[in-house]
Amino acid sequence: MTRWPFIKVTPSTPDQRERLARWLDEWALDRRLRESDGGVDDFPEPVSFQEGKAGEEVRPGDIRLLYPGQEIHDGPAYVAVTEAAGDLYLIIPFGRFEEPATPEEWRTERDAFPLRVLCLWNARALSADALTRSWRVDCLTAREKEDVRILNEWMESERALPSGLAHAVGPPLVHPLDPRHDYLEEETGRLDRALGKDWWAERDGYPALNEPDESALLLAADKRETYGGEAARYRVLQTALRLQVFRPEGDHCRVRISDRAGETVTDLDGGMLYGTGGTVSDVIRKGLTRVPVSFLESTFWVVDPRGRRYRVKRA
Amino acid sequence: MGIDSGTSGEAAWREWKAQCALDLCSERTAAHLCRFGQNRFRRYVERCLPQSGPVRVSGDLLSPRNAWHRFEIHLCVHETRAGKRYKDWLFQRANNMGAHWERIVEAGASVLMRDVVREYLRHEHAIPWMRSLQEPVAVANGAVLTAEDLLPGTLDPSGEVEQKEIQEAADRMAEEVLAGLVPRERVALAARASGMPLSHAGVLKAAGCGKTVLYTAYQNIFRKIAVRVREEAEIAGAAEQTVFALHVYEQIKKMVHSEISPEFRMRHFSMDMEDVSVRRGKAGYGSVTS
Repeated sequence: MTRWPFIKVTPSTPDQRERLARWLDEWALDRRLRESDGGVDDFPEPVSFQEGKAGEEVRPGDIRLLYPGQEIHDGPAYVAVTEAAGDLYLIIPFGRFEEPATPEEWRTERDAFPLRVLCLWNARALSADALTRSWRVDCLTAREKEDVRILNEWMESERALPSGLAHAVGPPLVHPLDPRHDYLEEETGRLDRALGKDWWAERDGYPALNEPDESALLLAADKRETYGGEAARYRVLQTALRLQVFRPEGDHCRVRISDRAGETVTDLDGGMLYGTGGTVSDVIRKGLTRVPVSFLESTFWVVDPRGRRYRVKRA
Repeated sequence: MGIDSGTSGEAAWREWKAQCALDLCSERTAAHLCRFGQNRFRRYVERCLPQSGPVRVSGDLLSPRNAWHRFEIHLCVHETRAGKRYKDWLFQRANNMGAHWERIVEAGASVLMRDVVREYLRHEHAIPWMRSLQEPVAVANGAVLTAEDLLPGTLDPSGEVEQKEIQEAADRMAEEVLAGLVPRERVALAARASGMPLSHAGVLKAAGCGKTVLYTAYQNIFRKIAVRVREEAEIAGAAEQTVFALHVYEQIKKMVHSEISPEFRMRHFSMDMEDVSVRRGKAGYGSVTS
């Protein structure tokens, strides 16, 4: 006879449920308003599109409004520029809603509607050239910069969020049928379009489950380079990828991107490693790159060719 | 869209952009833009509020000037030129496109007005059909959840033995449920486990169906789990059943994830399930994205 365990649950707090209810209300209202747009302002005939020329110089701390993309029905996209490393800037988009959806969305104290919620989960790294196609509208305050730093560190760790910020983030997302999954998907696509990237459309070949992908070209190389021995290994969070860092050769260390089995993979080709110390790697080519020796002493991220940021954890 | 046949709509928009504020524009331009604003504002409000009974919007609130004023201040970050860059955004897109200048400006303004109305309704009206915590969140295919269902709580920390028992029970049920999933459901789960949107063309092609059918298939998975937990598991309490069902769901996702061909997984940045567990361990602030 099956033995069933005793399960005890700590209920979610009234505050969490209240925050979720407010977000669901805003979502439902938004859906209803969008449905009412059907058929109006459609543009069935194709239109040509020319990108805008570069604008003002970008500085960390800027709040910028991205130039409009081609999608007629997307609203304006505001982003906060938080850090620079080499030629890359880390940007965090502001959300469409007034209520933060998840713990990785933070309600600022600003009154201006477009700047009320910062969506840290959707942070990207962009080149300076791409980011100049935007207007500067304001700057982060010193307090906001500090709060963003605290939130970023919290997202990297397993500690509790300081109480001063805990009330200003969204409720946990645990249920697979929660409409916030749809919201996250939509917001990812919206920022992709605003940045002129259609990540998924650029991928090719979608093998069905358990069928061999005969068109896959990625795992041809299984040569395992040693480069003088491994110094460290990291997991790329939210992926199945690993970083293998080799012992220094002069001022630099080589890094190899691999799968769990240790095979070199090229999925991050075109991306970079980006460190908080202001350093960046070489562009990743054929699953390999190079970083300054000092890189490993700081927190660093993986930035894929789309500009999407992934955290790493020492394995 | 020439509401006033004597006024060029494009000229009105351009004058507003040059003058920075409606009050500085000519009467003709002001009238044209206010009528546009009022039309859009009213259309969106009326979609959400009944126009009879105790909840009505008074004529003053829908006056042309009031609607346009809300439009102007909604997107203003602050009272400087930099703070009003939304106007540059509105016009740059029309300038970038090859044709239909006025229609494109109006389409963009309509998108902005929709957000204006959403904020207005949230703050100034109790919408009859908006939900409380106990009211159902509409979910397709017969599964009805409340906001409380979506936040059932967290598993109370317990001893190693109890955790092992819970995990073993979840594993057993996960294997049984997984065996009963149809291919389309497995594709949906694999896509979510890989971080791919269900609406993606490749996912739909693999599933052999359209987006609506695939979303229904995805929702079916948890419904199957929930039904089995309710009928077979000797677990008391709705919240406890939901939490256990979530454990079973996570296990099934891991199992499907491991079945995906390495090539597919590597190309599409699959979720690392260990990271999911770590995030959920944060008391009260666990966040799982699937």
